[in-house]
Amino acid sequence: MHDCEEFRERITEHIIDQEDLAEHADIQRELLRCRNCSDFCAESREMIEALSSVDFPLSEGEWSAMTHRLRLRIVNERPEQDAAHQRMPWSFRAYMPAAAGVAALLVLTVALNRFVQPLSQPPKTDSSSSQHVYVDRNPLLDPVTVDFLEQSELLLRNVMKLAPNDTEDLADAKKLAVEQLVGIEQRKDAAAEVLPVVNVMETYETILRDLRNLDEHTAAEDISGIQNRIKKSALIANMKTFQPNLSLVSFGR
Amino acid sequence: MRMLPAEEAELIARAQNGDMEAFCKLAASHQRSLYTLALKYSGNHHDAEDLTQEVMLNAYRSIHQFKGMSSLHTWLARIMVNAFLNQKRKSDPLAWSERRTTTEELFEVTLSVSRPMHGSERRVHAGLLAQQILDTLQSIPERQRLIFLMKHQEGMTCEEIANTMGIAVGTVKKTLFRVVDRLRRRFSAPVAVRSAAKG
Repeated sequence: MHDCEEFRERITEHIIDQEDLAEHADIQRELLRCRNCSDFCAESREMIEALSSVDFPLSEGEWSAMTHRLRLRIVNERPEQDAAHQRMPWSFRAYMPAAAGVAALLVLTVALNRFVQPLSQPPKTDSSSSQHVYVDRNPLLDPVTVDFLEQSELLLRNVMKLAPNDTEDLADAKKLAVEQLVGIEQRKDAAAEVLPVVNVMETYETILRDLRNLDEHTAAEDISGIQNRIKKSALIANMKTFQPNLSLVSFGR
Repeated sequence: MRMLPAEEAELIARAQNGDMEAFCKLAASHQRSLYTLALKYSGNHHDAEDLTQEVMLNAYRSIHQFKGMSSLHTWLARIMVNAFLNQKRKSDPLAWSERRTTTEELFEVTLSVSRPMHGSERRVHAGLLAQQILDTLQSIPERQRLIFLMKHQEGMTCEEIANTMGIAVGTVKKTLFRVVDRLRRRFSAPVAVRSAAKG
């Protein structure tokens, strides 16, 4: 007795795995017997094929930027891991009684030693015990380029807030765009080894040119177009990604 | 951009000894497949990238626990599935719609960059299909979607899925049937769009 639901449940796994159903004689028999199940099978296979064939391709530039952002997060993660290891290298609680005993013995030894041997030398300072500040900086970006990225991010944020009737803000944005355009070639050269940054700067350069060429009469339409492009290219996020963060990560030994 | 097993094994050993560069190479090699899984689950580019990064960070923290009982890809995919199960996403429809718009635009841009030879009509269809598939997947409840992706995307067996989710194998099979049936019904794309997928 053919039970449509039971049969469809049974063949679904084969359909998802894109197996050749012709090899299953029992399934073929039932498919010939029931037109509805045969349709279900054909439509499901078509859907699964489409689902498998469509990938979601990103441009190489986008992959490269994603890889760079991932790398930055891993690099940021490392000092946290190191600090965690320094804070709790083993289960302290389990060793607490022994540690207390050792500490007491140490205090006693030091105290007795001071009575027996007066200090003749000034205490040495160990340079290795000083604190270190870890700077998470992309080593391939120079400070001027980093500043440039910061200024660019600020300008872009201001542009995103621009309204067509803000004539003063509009004039400021145009002026800044002209200034940024002057230096952008040099910054691209400086960042030549970091391809994602160069890609971001090239996109940014087209925005700068459009800002510089803004016409008062068509400003409303142009600004909205520029804002859409900034949003579409995730330019602000990308500018931020390539700026370094500072954090204190290591302490005295 | 998968690497040879021997090369991967060497990088894993180095990463387990604290070599960050080795781990970064491993991460770059598995990033694309994990991103695709995350994109199909989350439905938008930004969440997919976030999820991928979270999984890689978790993997970095616990790479020393990787015993090589399965492939590294399988291990990473398991971490991602656990991340899906544990995540509590904020329900912010406005932000989601914004993220969705960016994803659509990203595909539109990317398709036009990566397939310049295919003609504009096919590009539009392929972009539509990609977005339609993401939308259709989003229409399925989260747990069901996850079960389906574990099977379809990751090729896990029903038994493996049942173990991971803590449910009966029969429940997995029923769920898969329901999801496929639902997708089949919703997948009412025009013929031209479907043929674009077949390439």
